[in-house]
Amino acid sequence: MTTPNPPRTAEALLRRCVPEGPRGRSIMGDLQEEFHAIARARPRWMAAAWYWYHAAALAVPSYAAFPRRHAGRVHRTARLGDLDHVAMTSLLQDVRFAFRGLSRNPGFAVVAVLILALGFGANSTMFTIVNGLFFEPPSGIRAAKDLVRINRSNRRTRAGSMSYPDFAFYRENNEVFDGFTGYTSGLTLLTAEFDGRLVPVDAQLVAGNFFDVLGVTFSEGRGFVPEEDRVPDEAPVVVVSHPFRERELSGTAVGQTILLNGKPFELVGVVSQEYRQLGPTDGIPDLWIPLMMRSTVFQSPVDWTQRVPNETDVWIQGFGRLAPMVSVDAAQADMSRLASQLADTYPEWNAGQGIAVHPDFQYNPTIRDRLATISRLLVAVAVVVLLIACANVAILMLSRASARRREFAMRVALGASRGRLVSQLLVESAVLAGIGAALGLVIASWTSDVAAATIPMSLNVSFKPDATVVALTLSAAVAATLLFGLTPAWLASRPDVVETIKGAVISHRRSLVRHALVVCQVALAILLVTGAGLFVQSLRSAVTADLGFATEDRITLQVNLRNHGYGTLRGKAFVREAIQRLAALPGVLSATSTTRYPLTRGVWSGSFQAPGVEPPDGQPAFNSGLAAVGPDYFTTVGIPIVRGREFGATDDDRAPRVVVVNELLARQVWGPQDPIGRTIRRDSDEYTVVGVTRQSMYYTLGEDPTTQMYFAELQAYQARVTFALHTSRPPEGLIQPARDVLHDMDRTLAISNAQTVEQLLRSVTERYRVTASVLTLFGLLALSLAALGLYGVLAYTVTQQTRDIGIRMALGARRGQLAWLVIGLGLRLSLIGAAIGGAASWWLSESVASLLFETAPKDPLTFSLIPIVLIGIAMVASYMPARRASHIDPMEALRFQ
Amino acid sequence: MTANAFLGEFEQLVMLTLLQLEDRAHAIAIRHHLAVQANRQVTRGALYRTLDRLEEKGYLSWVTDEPTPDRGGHPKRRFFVTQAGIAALRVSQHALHNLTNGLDAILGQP
Repeated sequence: MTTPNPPRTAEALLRRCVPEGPRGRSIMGDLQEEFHAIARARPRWMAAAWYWYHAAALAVPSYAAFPRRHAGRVHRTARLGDLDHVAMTSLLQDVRFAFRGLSRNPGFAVVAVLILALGFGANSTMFTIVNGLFFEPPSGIRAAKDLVRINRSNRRTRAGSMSYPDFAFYRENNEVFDGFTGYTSGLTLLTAEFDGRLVPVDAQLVAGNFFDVLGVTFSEGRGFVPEEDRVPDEAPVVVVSHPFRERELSGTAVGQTILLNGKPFELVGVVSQEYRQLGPTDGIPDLWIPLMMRSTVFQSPVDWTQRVPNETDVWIQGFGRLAPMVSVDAAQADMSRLASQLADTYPEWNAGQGIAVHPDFQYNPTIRDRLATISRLLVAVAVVVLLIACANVAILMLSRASARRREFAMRVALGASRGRLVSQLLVESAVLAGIGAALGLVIASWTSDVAAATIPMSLNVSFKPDATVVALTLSAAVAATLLFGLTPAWLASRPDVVETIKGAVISHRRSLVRHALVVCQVALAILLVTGAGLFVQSLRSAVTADLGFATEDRITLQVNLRNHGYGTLRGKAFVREAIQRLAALPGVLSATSTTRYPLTRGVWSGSFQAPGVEPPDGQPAFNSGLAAVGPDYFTTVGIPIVRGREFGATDDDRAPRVVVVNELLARQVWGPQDPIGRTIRRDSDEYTVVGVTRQSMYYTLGEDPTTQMYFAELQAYQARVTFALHTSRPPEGLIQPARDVLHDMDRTLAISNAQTVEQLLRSVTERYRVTASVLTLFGLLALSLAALGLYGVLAYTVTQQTRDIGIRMALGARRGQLAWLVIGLGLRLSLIGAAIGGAASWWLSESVASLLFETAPKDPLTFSLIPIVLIGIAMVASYMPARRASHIDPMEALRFQ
Repeated sequence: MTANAFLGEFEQLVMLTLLQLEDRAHAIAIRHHLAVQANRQVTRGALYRTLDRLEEKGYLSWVTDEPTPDRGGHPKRRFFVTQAGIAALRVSQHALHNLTNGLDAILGQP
C-alpha cells in the first residue's frame, strides 16, 4: 500500500507560517507522522480532514499577525502564536467598524445572515450526524481507539460471525490482543419474571470477559468473571442495564433472582449509565447473559461448544483490544495465521474461511459501508446548499460594495492601502459568517435528530453538536468568508478613484462576476433538484411496486417458541391450536402461520434434488429460498395459487410430504412441463409438488425474481413463528384481541412485530420516503435561493441601467421589448446554469444508483423536468424586475444620477 | 536563585514529562504522555509555545533525530532538560514541598 501524502494546500499553508529551520520543519514532521498513523486506520478523507483542521489550528494564530508581515517580513523568524499588538488593535477596529456598517444597513445584514444561517444549519446538522456516527468515542467504553472488530471472512462476506469452537481457538491462541471477546450482535426477546410480574426483555449473550475488554464500569455489583463462562449451563448469572434497573427494579438490585423463560438467574451487576451499546446501529439490550448459558435459555439441541458434523453454527461476533504497539495490520497478520491453521486442521468447517480485522469496532463492516455512502450523500447535499448560500451572499456583497464605491474611493484617495480595504471587507464578511454559523449551530441542535431519521437504519444514539462540530462549523465559516467575501472585497478595493468620485457608472467586470455567481447557483440548484427528483421517483416506485401479495386488512404477530422452552412436539401443538383460536376471532377471515413474513428480516435457503432433472452448470443441487407455512397461508397472505392447491390442515406428520413452489422455481427445474405431482428430495425426505404460486417479493423491495419453495409447517416445524390474519374489518382493532389469544395460551410469551401489514410496508418504504423528503426540502431551498440570487442580479441591473432604459423608451422602445430585455438576461443565465448543472447531475447520478429503488440513475422523466423547473425559476425571478423596467418613466430615468 | 527560576504549573508538567520520557521525549510523545498521565489535553500550539518559552529560559534544549519516511523527510526534535532546568525544577518542587508540609490530612490520598 502506498503511503498517502497530506493535502498539499494545507501543507503549503502550514509551511508559510511555521518558523524557518529545523524548528518549523519538525513541527510539520510531527503533524505528518500523526497524519500517517490516522491514514492507516481510517479512510483517507478523514485523515485529510484531520490534517486540514490541525494545520489550520496551528496556522490561524500566526496569520492573525497579518499586517506585521507587510512591515518588513520579519514574521518567518517569529514564534508560533506571537500575536502582534498592532494587528490585534486594527482587527478589533475592523470588527467594530463592520458591526457599525452592518447596523446602518440592517435589511442587508438580516437577509445575508439568514441565508448563511440556512447554509450553515444544513452543514452543521450533517457534521453533527457524521461526527456522532464516525468520530465521537462511544460513551462508557475505555480507550475505544484500541478496539477492533473481528469477523469471519470468505469470498462472499467479510462480516461473518464465528462458531464457538473457532472463537475459543482465536481467543486462546492469538498473540496480538490484550483481550479478545465476543457477543451475539442481534438481541433476543425473552420473557423475564420477577416480583410476580412478566416483562418482555431484549437480551444479549456475551463472553465472560466482554465488560472487562470494553472497560465498562458498574453502578452496582460487578460484571461477569471468566469462571462464569467456562462450563455450559453452570453459572446462571445476569447483568442488567441502567435504564432497565431504573424502570423495573426497586430496592437492592444485586442478588435478586430473575426468571428467564422460567429458569432462575442471579442478578450480579448493573451496568453504569454511560454504557449503552457497542455501536450506534446496535439495539440496546435490557440485560446480558454469559455465552455459556446459551442452551439454558434457548433449548439448543446440539452441543455447540464442539464442532458437530454437517453443522455450521456461526453466531458470535468477535472484537478485541489491541496490545500496546500492535497495529491493525499486525493483528490482521496474526489472525490470518490462525485462520489458515484452522482451515488446515478442520477443512470440513473452515476451508475457504479467513478472518478480517476491522479498525472501526463499532460497526458491522457491511453496515458501515452503507452508512458511509449515505453520510457522504447527505454531507454533499449540505455542502451544495452552503455553496449556493455563499454565492447568494456574494451577490449581495457585490451590490452593497457597488453602493459603497464612493466611500472606498474616498478612502483610497486619503491613502488607505488596498490590503487594508480588503482586510476590512473580509472582516465584515467574517462577522456575517460568524453570526450565520452561530445560528446554524443552533439550528443543528434542533434538527440533527430529525435529519438522522433520513438514515434508513435504526440508530440508538441522539445527535447533538459538540466541540468537534463547532470547530468544523467555524472552519466552514472561515472557508465561506473567503468564498463569498474575497471576490467582492478584491473588486471593491480597487475603485477607479477619479471616475467613481465623479459618479461614473460601474465597471463591466463586476456584472460579469455577478452573472457567473448566478450561473453557479442555478447549476448547483439543478444538481440538487435532479437528485431530489430521482429519490422522489424512487419513492413512487417503491410505494406502487407490485409486491405479489396483499397488504390490506392483514396483521402479523411474531413469537419465537424456542426462546420459551418449547420442543418440537409442544411447539407444533401450540401453533395448530393458536391458528384455530385466531381464526375463530370475530372479524377474522382466515389465519395461518409462517417462518417469515415476506419483506421481514431473516433468510432461510437450502439445496434440493429433483429426480430425473440435472441441476444447471454442473452444480451438485438446486438452490432455493425456503419457508415453512401453515394451512391457508396463500389465501391469508394473498399470494395467488396458479396451479394445484395450497396446504390444508390435513398436511401434517401423518400425511405424505408435500411442497408448493413458485413459478420461477417450477420453470427453472421442470421447464414447460407440469410440475404438479413431481417430486423433490431434500436431505433424506421426498416431497411431492402440490401447487404453484405466482411470483412475489420475498426479502427486499426491488429484488431480482428468486426461487422459493414452501413446506407445510406441520411437516417441517420451525420454532420462529409469525402468525398472519386476514380480517374483514379494520385490522388495527384486531391486534390486541390476537395478542390476548396467544397470551391466554401462554402468559409468558414474548410477542414482537404485532402490526398491520401496511405498517410493515411503511417501515420498509420509510428509507425512500425520508430521503426523498429531505432532498426535496433541500432542493426547494436551493431553488428559492437561486431564484433570490437571480432576482437580486436582475433588479440590480435594472437599477443600474435606468438611464439607459429611459433613453430607449424616449426613442420609442415598446414596454414589451424592455421587459423582454430583462427576462432574456434571466433566461440566458438560467440556461447556462442549467446546462452546467444538468451535465454535472448526469455525470454524478451513478454515484447514488445503489440508494435508488427501480429508478434508473439517468431517469428520463427526472432529467426532462429540468428545463421546466428552470423556465419556472427564470420567469418567477424576472417578473418583478421586468415589470419595473417596463414601467420606468423616461423623464424620471433621464434625471437619474 | 534568580527571578527566572519560577516555573508555571504547566511548564513543570512539561519538564517532568521530558524527564520521564528520557530519550523518547519527542513532541508527539510528550503530548500523549501529558494526556494519559496528567489528564491534560493540550493543543499542539500551546505545547510548542511552552517548549519555545522553556528553551528561551535556558531550561531545555533539543537535538534533531534522523528523519523517517512517514515524516515526509522532516526532522524530529528530541527535547531534554538542561542542568539549569533541573535546578529550576528542584526549586519549584522544594517550594511545593514546603507549602504542602503538614497538609496531609487535607491533601492526602484522594
